[in-house]
Amino acid sequence: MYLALERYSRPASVEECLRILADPRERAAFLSGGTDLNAGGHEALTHVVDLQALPLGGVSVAGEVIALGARVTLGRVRREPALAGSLFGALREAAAAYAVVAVQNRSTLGGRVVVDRPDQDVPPALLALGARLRLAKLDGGRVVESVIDLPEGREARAALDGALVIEIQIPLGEGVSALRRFGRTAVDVPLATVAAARRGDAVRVAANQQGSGAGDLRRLRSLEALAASWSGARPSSWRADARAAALSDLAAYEDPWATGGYRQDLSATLAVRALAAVIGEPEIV
Amino acid sequence: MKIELEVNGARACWECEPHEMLTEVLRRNGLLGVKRGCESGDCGACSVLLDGEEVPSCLVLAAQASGHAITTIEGVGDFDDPHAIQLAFVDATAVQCGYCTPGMVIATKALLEERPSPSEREVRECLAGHPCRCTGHKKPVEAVLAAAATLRARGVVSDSGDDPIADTARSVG
Repeated sequence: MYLALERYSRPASVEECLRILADPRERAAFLSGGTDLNAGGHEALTHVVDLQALPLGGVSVAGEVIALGARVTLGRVRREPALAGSLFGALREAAAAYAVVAVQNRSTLGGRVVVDRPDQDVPPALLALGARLRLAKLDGGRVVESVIDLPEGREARAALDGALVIEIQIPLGEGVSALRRFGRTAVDVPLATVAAARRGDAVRVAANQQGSGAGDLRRLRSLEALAASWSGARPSSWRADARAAALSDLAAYEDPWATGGYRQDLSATLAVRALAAVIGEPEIV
Repeated sequence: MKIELEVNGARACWECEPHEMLTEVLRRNGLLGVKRGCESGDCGACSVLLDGEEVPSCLVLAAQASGHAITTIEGVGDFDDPHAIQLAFVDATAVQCGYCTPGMVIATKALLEERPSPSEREVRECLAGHPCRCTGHKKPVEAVLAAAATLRARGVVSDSGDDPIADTARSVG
């Protein structure tokens, strides 16, 4: 892959990073792990701003929230004791599903959130877990921080423009999560990934329909509402009902790898399986 | 631009371009055991240890490595003083053309330092990032498990409590 980079910098402050990115004379981008730099689409970049000098690699718990620094790697997600509980099963599975061990050691959570690529198992896991992003942006020459929900859908990604992801915040508590994907091997882009998380009776389900183009990340709200309506007593038709609800939530995302109907049907199947995993039902009957 | 790093235990101060990947700069400085492969992080031929973690050097800008410690296959062992992992690969005839072998040895070193008694499943996951078209993975898996047993016996790595004998027997049996 041809890269035309002319400058590399490693600023020690968030403000300096944001100023370089905002400079209209620069064609700059932030560099976190760097695993997507060679993946195409970066030929026009002339300046990379390496974030490794910023304190973005920590994991901390404050109150009922765990904060994962944007430079926490997927390898660390798999090994981190604070993420060892059943609540974070989907996140660990997503990290393990991404590429291979050596790449997981470089790829970062912030990068996986920001990079608009199809091979994304981590965002649906974070979305199902109710993750929020702490961002820093320049506003009138000053650094301003905000906390937003993880962007869902392509339009919502505009919130990330010109921003630096500082950390990913996930609510703690008793719970369980699971991730189900369909792909041949770890290095394949899967056709779809679905994650589900349950805290008490509250269930969140998120899907990323993937393929040769950008993914389609969204919560399956009809399915979530259906699960909430059961309030512990599920009807015998719950699987069929859940499948119908998931199908109503999912778009028919078509690309050269799969028809829209096939991927939609596959994603609904994965959604029912992920849901079954977190509510303690057999996945396959 | 100038980068300063520790390479195989020695301090290095090298020139590189901002766009150059670590693979190229290591090779230009004589470390030819770092192989060029897919340049997309899929094949593992260029793997090195960066601060003790296995990374694909084709996905790391040389500039990113400045200030860090790099270990290449040359820093693991050589013909005169091979590492136990390298000997295990030879003993298990886990090498044919050898192109993927440096990456496998690097990956094994990282694995065994973290998991001295890996299960066969963990070994297979470790080697999944190192496809081999000549040998396949059966013999390399045997080699890794044998190396683990050797290193534990020498006390180079400590046992984490798994049952290495059962794992090894399952693999080679």
